[in-house]
Amino acid sequence: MNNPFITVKKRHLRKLIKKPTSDRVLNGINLILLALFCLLVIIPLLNLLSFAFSTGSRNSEVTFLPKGFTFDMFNYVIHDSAFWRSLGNSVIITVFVTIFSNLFMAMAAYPLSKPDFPFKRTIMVFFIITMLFSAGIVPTVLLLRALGIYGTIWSVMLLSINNVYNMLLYKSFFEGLPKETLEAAEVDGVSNLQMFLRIVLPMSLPVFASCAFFSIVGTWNSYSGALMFIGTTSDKEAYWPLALYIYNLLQVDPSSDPTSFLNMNLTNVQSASIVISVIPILVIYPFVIRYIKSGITLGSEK
Amino acid sequence: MEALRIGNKTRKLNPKSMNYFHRVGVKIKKYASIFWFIIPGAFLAILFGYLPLIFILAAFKSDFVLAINSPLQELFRNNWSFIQFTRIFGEDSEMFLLAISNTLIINAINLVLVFPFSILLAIMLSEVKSTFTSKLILIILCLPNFLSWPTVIGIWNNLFRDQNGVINNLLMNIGLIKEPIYWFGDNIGGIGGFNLFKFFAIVMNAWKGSGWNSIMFYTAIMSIDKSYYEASEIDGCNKVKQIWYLTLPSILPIIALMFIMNITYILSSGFEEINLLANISDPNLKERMKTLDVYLYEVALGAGADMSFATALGIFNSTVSLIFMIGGNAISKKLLHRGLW
Repeated sequence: MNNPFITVKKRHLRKLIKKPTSDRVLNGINLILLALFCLLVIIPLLNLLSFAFSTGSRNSEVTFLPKGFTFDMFNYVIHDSAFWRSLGNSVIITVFVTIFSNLFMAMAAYPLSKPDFPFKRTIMVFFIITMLFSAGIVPTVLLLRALGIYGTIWSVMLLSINNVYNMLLYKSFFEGLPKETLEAAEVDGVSNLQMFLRIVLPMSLPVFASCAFFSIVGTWNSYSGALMFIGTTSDKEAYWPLALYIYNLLQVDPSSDPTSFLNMNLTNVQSASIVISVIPILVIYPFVIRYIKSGITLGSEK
Repeated sequence: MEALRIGNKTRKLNPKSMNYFHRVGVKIKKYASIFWFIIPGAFLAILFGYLPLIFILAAFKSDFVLAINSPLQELFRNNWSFIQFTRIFGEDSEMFLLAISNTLIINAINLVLVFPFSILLAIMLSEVKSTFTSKLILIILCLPNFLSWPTVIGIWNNLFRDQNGVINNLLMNIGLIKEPIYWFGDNIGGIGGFNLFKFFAIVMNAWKGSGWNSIMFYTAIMSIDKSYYEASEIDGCNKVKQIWYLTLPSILPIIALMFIMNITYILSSGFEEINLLANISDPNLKERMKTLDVYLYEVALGAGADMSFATALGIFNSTVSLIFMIGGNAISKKLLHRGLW
């Protein structure tokens, strides 16, 4: 410690490392505010859970913990055949749309990612026009009626497959693939089709994962397509997806039949249905969160 | 010189000696095996992107009734007229202008308050030293974005409903209010015409989306070279100065890009949110708080649907959106050298 150089260095270092007090205060405030924002997100969710596990008679006491812990609400919801039917519809729609939308859009994007593909510009314009100019609700309804699929689950499924935005994402990702690898494969005599299946697809797994995640979440959560092209009349109930089922459940009038279990425990049944409907999203959320970042940076670089 | 491989033969080609059709033919041969990849996507684009355009003709009719005829028969019935377009700015303009002004107000407040908030959130997140903490906060704040609108509105309805709503109960327990307040109602606190509809629309939007929207800015901030910060620190910059003179200018391009993108969608207000919020609110409010999306839906498919008029409104809406999108894209390409396409 008698070496003067070392002491000077240490003092110097400490001076460098030590941040001004104002910065440390700012950091503290920053963390406190962020924690507050997190609480603002978490507390309403906790409240939802507590309502789902409480009995209707003690609703006035519920804040962020269940009062009168019970599974009755879930019991009621899972014995409701309409709920199961709409859950099944949602699963069918989501699986169908996720698979075919991503498959078809990636397939269309691959040839268009080739710089010397013939008519590339024309085909791109052809696709982008459909994204820019939508005919509107009524023409779509009329077309679906003319095709004979208005009011069925097919209308929602087929309409959601056409996703040009995803196609642009895939195209920009394929364009960014390392040219050396593709050229090496070409020299080795790999055909274009083989190239897509064996080389391009495995290399694009991150973008497939994030696009598939967004397809799943978007389709699972959306009710507007079903509202417009299936309808809320009771004869169409068999085709409702889960989001539309909850949309209707939120608008139940509790004064219509005050003695029924649903109306006595309306808040709690609504909360329980919502909790069940959120589970699939929560299950895949942690798995895909690491892919999301790559997907976003991709989107910003188009 | 370009080498072309077809099967096992390799031919040398001179592009200059070929005419246009020959060149295209060669390219088509080169990509023959993947040309059909486009077909499913193109088929869907024609089916759901281009075929509905035929039915835009429904806007040029005096009325459009599906009671007897099929859509195609009705489409070619001889009752052509321009009356629907004059109606938009004539006798039915009141509702239409109200819907547009509601949409513009909500979107403008979103742009002025919620959009900067997500930038602020990103800056705050980037100041968190520990990676684990910042990731945890990010995961929590992004979660609401992946919940559906019925879920979000169900949650807020639990909090703010008049009977047994959590907020009302808390306020009553403290003794601030005696009667439960109907938060989604029209005359809150007995003040005529005072309502919180737009407030709820904007706050719910912020609650759902601001965490997610901040990710874009967060990744941009994280990619700034750390040595700039070290240099500024040695020069005696404090945190506030660093943010003002270093962080914000560095992410300005992405802020501008997102701002232009948001401007582009200024006529769409988030149908799923506003429609459901209007349906759980006071019925009086629903009439006054319609946004353009909701109004379009109600005219097209609601009670007393008017299909011809709805088509005309849809054409107007689509055209304005088209102009905004092309304009926004052109501006962002000119200023920032990147756009949607």
